[in-house]
Amino acid sequence: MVNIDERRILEAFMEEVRELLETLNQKLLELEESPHDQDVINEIFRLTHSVKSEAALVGFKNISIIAHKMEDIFEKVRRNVLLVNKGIMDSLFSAFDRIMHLLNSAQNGIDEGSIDIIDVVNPLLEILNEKKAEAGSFTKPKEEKKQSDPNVSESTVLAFSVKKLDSIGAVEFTDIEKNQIEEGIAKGHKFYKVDFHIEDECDMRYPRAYLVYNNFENSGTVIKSIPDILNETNDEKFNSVTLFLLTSSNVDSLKSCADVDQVDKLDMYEISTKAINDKLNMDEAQGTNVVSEIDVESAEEIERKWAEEMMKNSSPELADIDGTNVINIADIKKEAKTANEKIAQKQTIRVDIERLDELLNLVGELIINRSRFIQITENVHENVSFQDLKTELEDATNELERISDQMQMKMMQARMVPIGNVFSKFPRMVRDLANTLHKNLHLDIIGETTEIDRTVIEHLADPLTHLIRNSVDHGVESPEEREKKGKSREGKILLRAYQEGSNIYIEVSDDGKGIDIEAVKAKAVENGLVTQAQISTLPLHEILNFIFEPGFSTKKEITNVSGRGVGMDVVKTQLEKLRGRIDITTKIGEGSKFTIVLPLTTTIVEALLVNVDRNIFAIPISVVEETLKVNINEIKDFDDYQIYNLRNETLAVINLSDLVGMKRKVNSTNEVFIVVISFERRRIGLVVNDLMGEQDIVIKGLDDVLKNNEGVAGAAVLGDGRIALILDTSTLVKAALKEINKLAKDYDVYKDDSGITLSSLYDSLNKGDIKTESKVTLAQHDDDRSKPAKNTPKNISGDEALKKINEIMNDIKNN
Amino acid sequence: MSDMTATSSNERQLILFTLGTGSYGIPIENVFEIKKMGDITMVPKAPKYIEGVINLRGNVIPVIDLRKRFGMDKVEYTKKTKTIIVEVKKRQFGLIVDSVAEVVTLNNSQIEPSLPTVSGLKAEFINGIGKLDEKLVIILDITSILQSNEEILIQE
Amino acid sequence: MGSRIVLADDLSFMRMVQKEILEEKGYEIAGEACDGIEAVERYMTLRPDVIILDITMPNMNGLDAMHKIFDFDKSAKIIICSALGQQQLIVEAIKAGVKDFIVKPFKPERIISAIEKALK
Repeated sequence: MVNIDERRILEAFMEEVRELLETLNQKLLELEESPHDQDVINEIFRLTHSVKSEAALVGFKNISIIAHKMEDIFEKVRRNVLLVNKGIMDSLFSAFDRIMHLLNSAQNGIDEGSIDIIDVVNPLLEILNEKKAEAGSFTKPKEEKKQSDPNVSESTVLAFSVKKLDSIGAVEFTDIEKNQIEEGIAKGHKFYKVDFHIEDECDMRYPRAYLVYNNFENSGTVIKSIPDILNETNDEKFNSVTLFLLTSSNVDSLKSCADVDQVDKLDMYEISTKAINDKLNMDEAQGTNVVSEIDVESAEEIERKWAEEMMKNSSPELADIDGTNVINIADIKKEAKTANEKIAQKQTIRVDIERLDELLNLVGELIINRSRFIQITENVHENVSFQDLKTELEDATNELERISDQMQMKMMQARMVPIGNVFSKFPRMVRDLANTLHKNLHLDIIGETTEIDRTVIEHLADPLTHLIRNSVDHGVESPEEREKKGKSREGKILLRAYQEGSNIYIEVSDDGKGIDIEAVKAKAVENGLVTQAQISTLPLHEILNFIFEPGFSTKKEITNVSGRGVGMDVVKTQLEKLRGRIDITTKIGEGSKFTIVLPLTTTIVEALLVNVDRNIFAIPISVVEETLKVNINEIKDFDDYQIYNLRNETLAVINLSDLVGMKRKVNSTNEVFIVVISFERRRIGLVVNDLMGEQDIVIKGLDDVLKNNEGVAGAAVLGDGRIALILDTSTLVKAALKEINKLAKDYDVYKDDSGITLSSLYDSLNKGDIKTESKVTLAQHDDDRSKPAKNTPKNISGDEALKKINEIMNDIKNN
Repeated sequence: MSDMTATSSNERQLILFTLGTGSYGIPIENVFEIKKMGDITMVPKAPKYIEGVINLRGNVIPVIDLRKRFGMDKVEYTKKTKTIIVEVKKRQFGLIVDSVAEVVTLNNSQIEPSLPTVSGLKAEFINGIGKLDEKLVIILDITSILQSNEEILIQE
Repeated sequence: MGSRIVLADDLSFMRMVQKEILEEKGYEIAGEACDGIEAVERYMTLRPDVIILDITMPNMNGLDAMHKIFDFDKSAKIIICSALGQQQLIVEAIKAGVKDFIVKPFKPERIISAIEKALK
């Protein structure tokens, strides 16, 4: 028997069939858009066909049955015999969904054959005008014949005999045939009656018979075949075939004509001249309808044989896939099931072979480079001149740098996958959602080939799902509403991805009603996130950011689509985990756009290394706006945090050592550095002792005992073996800002000798992209200050306010 | 009772080390290697007993000062101070100890069940007390020590 | 034994199954192709003893590939791999001169038998 690695095959099947199904889903959606697209139809036909074959090969009977019926439908669609409509599409999608379900079940160790599929198959049969199947007809286990006899040879053995024949029997030859025979005999050809038999367990007997026929035809002239191979194509009739052959070929080469797979018997009868003459003359004399007694017998014999064999092989409609013909590895499924094993979904990635080759080349270069270094080491011992050594070392180092840079780049590329992998599920989702919500929607996708890191992509599906659901549910209006507003009935959602610099941008936009700012404001106040007075001073983006607060939903009725405002906060935290962010722009009546910004890769980051005391910290370069070398006296001390006048703008600065909770070291010089970092349109300066330059670092996770450590995102091992801690700047600084913001808003009265006010500090922290907005805010503050503050809970002195701030800052630090 | 694996069913191999005046043992199968003290990178806001992280062949692993973990007085590191790298459930840790003595093989008959009064440690952190030439060796259950968040105090 | 075979199927899984079966029997898989164009190219460059062509393949289907291969090498030993329901296509292939055909889903012995006989 043939031994093959069954588990591996099953795993490979799972992987490949999932890919096929993903494409199938996509193509079905395309078909719905353009039901006449022949390319799409052909593609679907091919895909269903592949799914069917593969599933049958590993013994996933039910998947195979569904796919088979889908294939049948597209076979008709292809020939323009059937036209797809919405009803058919719905049935196809249900069938598709069931296949996914069966596949997932199988992956979890459940026998897919035990799951009922009749409810999805019957609609397909209906479309095909076929008889409906009965309940349970696809779930009965069919064990018989699965195991083939191990003693049987793998190859078909051809039983062969040659005999002489003195009587042709009850066969009628037409005049043309008779002439052919006469001509052949005259040329010295022999005339044979050839009987061959096809194995009982054979699919597609007709083509197999045809193969043998064709082989004989190539070795001579087939005068006649019974059954008639040229006109009869019914498989069931071709168990035994009789040919009448004129040939000059030798017996061995004739034998080889039938020596093909699954033909197990060949009997050749060399027909004597007498018999030929008898036949030709007899027919001539007695007319074509006269048959002798003996001949009737043999004719009956042939017929009876056919009938018998037909009975034996008559099979129900779906016999071809009901298990009888399934390859032996079908037992894999059983094995996997009995062991109750789950086929672990391994983290695999398909890498372009070219990319791997490039990497391999680089490894080759690296090895050459290594030998250069070995050479240098030897030279050191051999007293080679310092200058020569220096040159050689510099060269080799440059080379190493180039190679490793390229390797890093290629390696990162190898991890990249097209974002289309995530996008592909959305057309279907939007379609279903639109149906449920009775909306008319069109989803456009742009940039699905944009490549993104594999680890990022896995965590992107959920946030995107939330955003798109949100657009369908809350964004786009009902067709009626749209019509009233003078918009097209069909709403549009655009999903777009593109790369710019070292970031990936993903936009989800709609042409719906936009976000009602007033409703957001009201809700924010209602939820106690801000006071009524505060909210009027907040810039637009700040207000929109409330959407991402937990439990925030402005929609009055709750739907089962978007839920209760759960989600948007999850979206934000998810994206932050990927070191990404999300921006909103919206215009009432015209629509909204959510833009996700993500770094290209998460494992390798470009970072600015800074020194604080003896410690090295790495700050992702993406948040660094600029670095400044300043005299320590230029920083106005506010005790724990400070203020620096950056080009006439107030910048809040915090000592990094304070922020991470280390003791601040007294600087030996007056020189310090400020790293200006920005995120979410806010800026803050981090004071550090020294800058060590930029470097690409590989992020290493920290052990669980350090996991709760907010503010440290991970660690990296530097070239010299030292460890740099990677700062999670967003968490750290956000915590600080949040507290400062609150204070600044509550105790908006403080003014010190330097003329810097808390409100201007607050303003500097919230410095937006849009300068004018900030100014407006500032002006309002100034106005407010001239009058008694309406919303200050109680009058509080500046000292108290500062004390409070310091307390909170300390809390943050010590947390 | 974890990590009670032994060379044979009635023998256990231990790495002996000292903390103050006490003698302690860790089953050898938990020990990955023993290192001299090197650079330790301090991690802000880490639990008090975590001294920091070190670079172990490209991996960043946390280092625990066992004196701090057991609430003992801090002492200056000396040449004898060592970091024992242990591996527990696929996680690696460094344990800073005063000195590492030797590897001993104890027969099960030489091991008593834990006696909190003798060891000064809660029973869950001990795998037993070994007797070696009239000297007592406290066999630590390193897994539960590493997994516990509670303050562990030891009387010297 | 040791004959060189090229496998052409758009489904890598199918090729894998075929490969497992054939390598077990001591055949050498000289190359693999995932569409018709590649199949023709592989045949021309690798000159295998047998090529197994799946009928349903993208870019160029198995039959077109078969014709191209026969144009290049009249005595090429081609085995067509088909699914149930493709009778007419198989017949077309037989007329063109393929040695044998395999029907999916197949048992290991079918492919071995077909190859052994084609190599005779």
